[in-house]
Amino acid sequence: MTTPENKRSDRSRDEVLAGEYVLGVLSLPDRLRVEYRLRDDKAFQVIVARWQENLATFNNDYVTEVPPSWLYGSVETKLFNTSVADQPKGLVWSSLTFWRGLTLVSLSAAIFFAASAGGLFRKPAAVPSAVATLGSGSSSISLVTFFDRQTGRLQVLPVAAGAEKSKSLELWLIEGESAPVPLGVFQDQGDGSIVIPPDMRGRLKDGVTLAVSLEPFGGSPTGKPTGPVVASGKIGI
Amino acid sequence: MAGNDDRDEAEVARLIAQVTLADRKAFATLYQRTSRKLFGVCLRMLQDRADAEEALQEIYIKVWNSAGAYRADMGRPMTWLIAIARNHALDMLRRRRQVAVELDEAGEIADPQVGPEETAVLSSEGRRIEDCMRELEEDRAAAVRSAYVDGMSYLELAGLHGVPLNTMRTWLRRSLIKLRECMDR
Repeated sequence: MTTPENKRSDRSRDEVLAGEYVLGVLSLPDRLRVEYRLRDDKAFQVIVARWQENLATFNNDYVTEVPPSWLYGSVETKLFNTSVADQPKGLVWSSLTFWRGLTLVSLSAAIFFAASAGGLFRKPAAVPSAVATLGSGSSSISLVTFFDRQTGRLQVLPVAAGAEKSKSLELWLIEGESAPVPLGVFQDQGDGSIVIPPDMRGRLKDGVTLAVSLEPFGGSPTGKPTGPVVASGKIGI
Repeated sequence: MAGNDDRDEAEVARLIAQVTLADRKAFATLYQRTSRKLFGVCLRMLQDRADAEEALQEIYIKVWNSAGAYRADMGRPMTWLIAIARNHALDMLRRRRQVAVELDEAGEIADPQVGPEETAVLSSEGRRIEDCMRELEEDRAAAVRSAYVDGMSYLELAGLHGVPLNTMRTWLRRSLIKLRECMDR
C-alpha cells in the first residue's frame, strides 16, 4: 500500500540513487539497472537530469585536450564507411544556403516518444501511439505531437507559438539522406492535426526524421522546404 | 563570459539539431567544437591515452545515433554531451575494474525532506553547487568531487580516504542528501 510516508521515502531513495548514478559510483550491474529504469520512468528521468545539471559545474575540472587528427576520420569511416567529401551535393538539407536561412530559432530540436522519453535511452517496441515534443532552443515555438498508429492521425499542438502570421507550418519526413517528403500543412484554424496519407503511414518508423518548417501560407510552393526548420527530430518508436 | 557561453551553447544545440537531419557537415563542426572537451573527459577518467582515443570514437558514434534524443528542456547541450562521454567512460571503467558493489537499500539514510513535486521541475536557477559543496565537510566534498570527475567507485574512494566501504557509502549518500537540500533551499 502506498502511503504519503512511503511515497516520500521512495522519493528520497530515488534522489540518492539518481545522485549516485550521476556521480558514477555505482557498479556496472547497478548502472545498467538504473539505465533500464530510465527508459520508462519519466519522474526518475527528471531527477537524473536535475542532478546532471546541478553537478555540471564539476565539468570545469576537465581540461580540454586536442584529440589526434586521425580520430575524426576513423569516426566517419565507422559511421558512414566513407569520408565527408563523398557526401551527396545539392541536398536541400545539407546546403549551406538553406541552413543560413535558419533565422527563426536556434533550432535545438528535440523529439521524444511517450514511453521512450529519455535523453539517451531506447525503449521497448510495440507501443501503438506516440507522443513527441519538437522544441527549439529559443522556445519561440514548441510543438507537442501525438501519433495514433491506428487511424494514422498525427496531431501537433503548437505551444508558446510566436510564428509570424500569413505563414504555415509544414511537416516533412526525411528518410536517411533522401530529400524531404511533404506530409502535410497544418491548418491555420485547425486542431493541430494532420492525417498522414495511408501510403505514407508505414514510413513513419524508427529512425526516420520528422521536421517542421515555416513556409509561405498554404505550404511550400515547390514541394521542398523553403523556409527555416523550426523543429526536427528522429522517431524512436 | 556568460554571454559567450550562452551563444556557444545555442550553437552546439543548433548543430545537434542538424545532426538529427543526418547532416554530416554539421556533425564535423560539432566534433570540431566539442571534441577537445570530451577528449579531456576521457583522458581524465580513463587515465590511458589509447583507451581515451577509443572511447572518443565510440562517444561520437553515440552522439550521431542519439542526437534526436537531446531535449532542450532536460538540460544544456554541452551537459548532455559530457554526460554521454562520462557514461561511456564509466562503463569502460566499471568493466575494466569489475567492481562489484551491489546496490542495497538506503535504509539508514535520514529522510531528506524532498519538497513537493514542483521542485522536481528542472531549473537552471537555484544555488550553485559550489556554494553547497562548501557546506560539506572537506573530505566528504573531496570524495564527491573525485567520484564525479575521476569516475571513482565506492571501493576506490574508500581506499583513497582510508575508511571502510560502508562508511564511504554513507558519506556520499548523506552528502548527496545535503546537496539536494541545499540546492532546493
